[in-house]
Amino acid sequence: MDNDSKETPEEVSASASPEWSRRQFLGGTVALGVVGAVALLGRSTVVDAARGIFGSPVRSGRVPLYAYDYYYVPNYMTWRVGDRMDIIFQNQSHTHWHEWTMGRHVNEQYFQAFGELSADAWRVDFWDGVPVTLSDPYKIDNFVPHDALVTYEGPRSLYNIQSGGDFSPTLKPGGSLHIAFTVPNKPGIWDFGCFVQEYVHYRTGMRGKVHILPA
Amino acid sequence: MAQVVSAPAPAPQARRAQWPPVLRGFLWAAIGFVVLNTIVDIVDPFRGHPFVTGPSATLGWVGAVVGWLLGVGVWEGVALPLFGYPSRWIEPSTGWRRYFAYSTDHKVIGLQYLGSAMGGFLIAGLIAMFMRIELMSDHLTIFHYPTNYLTAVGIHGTIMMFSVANVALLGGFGNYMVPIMIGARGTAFPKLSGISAWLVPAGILSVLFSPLLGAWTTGWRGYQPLASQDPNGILFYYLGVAALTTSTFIVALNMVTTIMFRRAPGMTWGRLPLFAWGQVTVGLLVLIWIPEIQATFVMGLLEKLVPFNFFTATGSVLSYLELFWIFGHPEVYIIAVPVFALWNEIIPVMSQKSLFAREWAVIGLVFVMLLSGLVWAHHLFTNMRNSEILPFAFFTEMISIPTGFAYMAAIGTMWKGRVRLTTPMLLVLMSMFNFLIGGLTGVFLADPVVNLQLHDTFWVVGHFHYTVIGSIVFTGLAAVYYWLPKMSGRMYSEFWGKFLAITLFIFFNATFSQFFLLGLHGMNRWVPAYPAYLQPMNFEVSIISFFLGLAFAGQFVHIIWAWVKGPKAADNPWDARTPEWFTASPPPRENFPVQPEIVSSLYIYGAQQPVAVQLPAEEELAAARDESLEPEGGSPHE
Ligand code: HEM
Ligand SMILES: [Cu+2]
Ligand SMILES: [Cu+2]
Repeated sequence: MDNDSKETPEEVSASASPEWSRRQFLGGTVALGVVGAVALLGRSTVVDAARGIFGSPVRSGRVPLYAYDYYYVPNYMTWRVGDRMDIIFQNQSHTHWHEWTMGRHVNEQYFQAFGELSADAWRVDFWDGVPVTLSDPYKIDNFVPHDALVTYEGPRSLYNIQSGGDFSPTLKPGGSLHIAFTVPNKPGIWDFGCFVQEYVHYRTGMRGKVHILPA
Repeated sequence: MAQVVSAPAPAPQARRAQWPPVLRGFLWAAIGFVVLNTIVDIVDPFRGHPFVTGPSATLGWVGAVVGWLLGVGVWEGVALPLFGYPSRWIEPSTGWRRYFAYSTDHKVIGLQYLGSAMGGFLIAGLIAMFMRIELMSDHLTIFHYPTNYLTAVGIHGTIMMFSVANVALLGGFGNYMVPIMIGARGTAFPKLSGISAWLVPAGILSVLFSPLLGAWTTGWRGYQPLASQDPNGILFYYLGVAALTTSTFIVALNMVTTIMFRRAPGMTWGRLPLFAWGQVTVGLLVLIWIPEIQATFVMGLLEKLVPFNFFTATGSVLSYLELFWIFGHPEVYIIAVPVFALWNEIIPVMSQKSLFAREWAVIGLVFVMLLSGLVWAHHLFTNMRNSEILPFAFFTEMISIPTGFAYMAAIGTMWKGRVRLTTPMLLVLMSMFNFLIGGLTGVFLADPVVNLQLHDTFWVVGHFHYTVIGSIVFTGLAAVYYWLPKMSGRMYSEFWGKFLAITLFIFFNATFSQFFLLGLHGMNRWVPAYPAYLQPMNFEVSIISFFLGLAFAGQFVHIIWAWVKGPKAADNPWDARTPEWFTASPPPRENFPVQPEIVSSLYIYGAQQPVAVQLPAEEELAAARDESLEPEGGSPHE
């Protein structure tokens, strides 16, 4: 039936509604297809590039950090060595436990269906040797200090201190914790993430980056 | 005969450059999304102000779908006139552009559905190729995490089921052919149907782009409470499927109503073409079970979004499975019933022999439809007590009896007939063979003892690909070749048609028959990584499946070639007797120049074969007769 239109050139003028352009249609559809493919497959590359170009403002002082299913808000921060930070870590999920860990080189053996995942995720834990003050604990599931130098305000029982794994406060749904520290002299890009439920949160995108500028 | 209804004289108007409707649809969809998303952000702000949240994406999606529908032409075609505003919209009756905009012509709508189904097939087929690439080795290669592989499986299954299997023969050939086959000059709900066709691309794109909101792991069933553990990608699964099932529902509403009220004079229920009977039966299945599954999916969506505890604390974990499969098994017959009907549409024509045991063929369709609601728990044998298993095992094995009627009618018709082995006939025979394999392996699965071993293995994957591809894909292709001369006025190449059909058949069987063996050897479903001893066989199956992919691609290339460039076809190349062959090819806007009358059975072939369809000569008659005042039915005898 397409052929009719080709055989009768008068048809175009005979038709009542103004015809839209074929070139526009094809060009537009192809362009949308490209945008769609990039959005599906190259999203993180695009976001990284945009951050590289535009950067993000240096944060210091009181910074809220929210955990949702399964993402952090914000998932990218810029800090400066020597600044004082008051991270208010809050779990906004109604249903899920979340933690906040930070380090480099995640020990991410590919999941082979057989075998085990190691408990400490980062090969380098950012908090090693860092003095940290914790306060205002609310609905803490557990807290692992690892090699950080931690000062606890208030009764220690509220923190449910455990051992094993990286520095990691784990909050129940609705929980929150105040984490105060001075940015240590560890400049560069650091990754953070949540490894709850056998890495599933991390795998599904519960991760972020901190860019630490030298003093 | 081809008297194209000409469009009214052009209205004088400024020739303003107009956006192609599809592009405008995308633009309005984007606007709709942003507007509703922002409103939700204001009403229900999340701490830290993420722009896209679960609730905002859900309502934003609603805005996007409304924008999309309005943008592709519902704005001028329906919305403005509905509210009494002047609309200059005039539906074009020729040209390729009408396929890419809202239309009320059931033939255009049918082809829009077919095009969407084909697009969905190509997308989901490509994803299947990626799955097979992953399965070539026993550890993760092209997918980074197991969840990514599971998302791919889910998208593949969802698009294949809800936008290919449920669409090709219902929205596609149902819309295009059924009105013509019953001698009607239009359908009952042309506007609604025009809108619903555009829900299919919306649904496919929602599911395809669901990973933007995160991976999901439930497969095509959206299982709760697992889905509540998934990131927000699962929301776009539920929403996309809502669009697709709504579209299927509207198709059924339109088909059943059209067949009930718009049959030509003389088209009694007893004379109704088998394919139309198939549409009525499947229409009833859809009207009963689609609302059920939609309600379930809405509950699933709310469970994730609010969140509720429908399927955990206050409900039971099994309730979602039950609710899903009570639809899920009838779904198999939503796919298969129009296929059975088509076999018995094509076989009498190609054998030039009267349809054998026509009543039994119809009864088979109806009983399959009734029994299909009684077998759902055979998907849950691993979760049930023995006493509960037995009745479901029994009914499951019983359903092969009415299914057998379709085979009996088909084989009885071919018996001692002059069978012409054309491409459509060849594909129908292949389809019957493949579906038989699917059915026989299903009988094994219905056996509880065997089921407990084979559950969740590739045996099951082989079984349902044999039933689904065996039925809808082979018979769908047969329908394309059978009706190609009708829809395009052109003919395919009989050599290439057969060559490609045989290639497809060989590669299909070589791929999926080995799925049974893989399953018996212990290959599980839903795993991208597996024990090393299974690797050589998986590797080899993957290689063959790539050839299967090429065979499908070859079919599409050939069909498109034939549609555009094939030689002109004869008016009735198969010597068929159903009414669609008694009008021009392609049929004019109103299908027939005048209202036809059916004067004898459509399936009688032989020496004193009577004329089945008459077109009253007086054109005035047509002009005088109001279509909506048609006499209901015809002579009661026959
Ligand atoms: C083009 C050839 C095809 C190939 C090579 C293919 C391959 C596969 C494979 C390997 C799986 C199982 C993945 C797993 O469980 O790990 C699968 C699942 C599935 N396929 Fe296909 N498939 C093809 C075509 C189709 C068609 C045409 C349909 C239906 C119209 C279909 C429907 C499904 C469904 C419903 C699932 C289950 C998804 C789930 O478990 O949620 N497939 N396919
Ligand atoms: Cu988490
Ligand atoms: Cu079933």
